[in-house]
Amino acid sequence: MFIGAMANKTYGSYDHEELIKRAKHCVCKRCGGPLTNSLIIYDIYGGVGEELYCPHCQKQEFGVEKEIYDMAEYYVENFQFNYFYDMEENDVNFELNVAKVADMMSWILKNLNLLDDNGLKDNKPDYEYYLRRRRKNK
Amino acid sequence: MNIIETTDLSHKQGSKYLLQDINWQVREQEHWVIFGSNGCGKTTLLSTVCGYRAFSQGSIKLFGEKLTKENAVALRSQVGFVSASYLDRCFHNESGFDIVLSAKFGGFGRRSDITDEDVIRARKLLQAFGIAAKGDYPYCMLSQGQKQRVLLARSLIVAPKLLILDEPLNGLDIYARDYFLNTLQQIVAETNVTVIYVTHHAEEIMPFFTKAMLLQNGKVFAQGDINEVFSEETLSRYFKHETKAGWQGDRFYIGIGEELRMDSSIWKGECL
Ligand SMILES: [Zn+2]
Repeated sequence: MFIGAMANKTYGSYDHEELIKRAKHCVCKRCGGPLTNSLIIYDIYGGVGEELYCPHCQKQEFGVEKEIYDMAEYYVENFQFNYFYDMEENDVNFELNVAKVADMMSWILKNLNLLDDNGLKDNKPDYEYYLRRRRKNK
Repeated sequence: MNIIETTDLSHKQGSKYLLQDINWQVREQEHWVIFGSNGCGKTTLLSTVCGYRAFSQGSIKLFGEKLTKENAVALRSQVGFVSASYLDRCFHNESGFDIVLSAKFGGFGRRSDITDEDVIRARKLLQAFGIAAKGDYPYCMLSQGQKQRVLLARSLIVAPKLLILDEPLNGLDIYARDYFLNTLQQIVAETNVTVIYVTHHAEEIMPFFTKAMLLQNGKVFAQGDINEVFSEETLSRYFKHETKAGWQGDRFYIGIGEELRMDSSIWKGECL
């Protein structure tokens, strides 16, 4: 697989603009680094697509809000959170735990109507919103 | 409606044809076995049909629609695609869980419109394939069998119209192999899915397969009803050795004559 920079073209991606927008306000949930929207060439003979990508972790990465990443990093570092208890404690273990906590925080904030595709909102938590969503999903 | 239709499909790399003049029609609820030696073009054919590879000549229709780079992503989201030989090059540091969810979007990454139902389904599939505890691990940290289980889970995250299984049992233990084959048999019996199954192992050919294709050097050697394609006469011509083939209960077997072995002077060191 080859990762290349986008050249203002869409290659079978129906949400090119959304990806560009998201790369501006989100960071990698593992390392906190910036995301790029990259052209993914699936194969040297062709076949292309577009994904958000973290050049540091070398992974296709949809990202989380920067504020959420910072809080998740603080949480894992100070409260000794370890979901990957059977993994050796090292940098990878730390990063995966931050990603896990960031995912959980994002889910909570989304369900309290404090987060959407545009980023964090500044309204009050709406628990009724969560209950309505849960009832709808049942 | 044809689920897959290729017309004069060819792809050339340098002076070598990876695929040559493939004319293939797969009708709804036909189940195909693709059989062939290493490097004969099986993975190339299937990844091309899914829109992951370019081709130099001919055309492909998927679900009756001509495949183009504009619609490949949308069409692909209706296909469950398992191919470690192709997808191992596409995933590295992504978690198994993210990889499973990516199939919903026809690409290799996630998008925001993931519902709680998608998450629950992805977690349940990982659990069903015995890999729940490793679901958040990066793909590169998993064993070959664990990677294969992630790819199998990925192929079922959306109820696919077409399941393309390229050597799906590679790296799995006997228990996991039978577990998957029995599950596949049930999926075929209870849904309208069409299955394309690539294997080197005759015992994986289940009675529900009705069609077969033999590939050789990127060309179709034979295709059609499974009993004709996998007849002893056709297989003997394909392998250039007298070949025995047939059903033993509900499993197929293919065996090549005993004279097929290494010249003993090589392993005895007599040729030095
Ligand atoms: Zn990163």
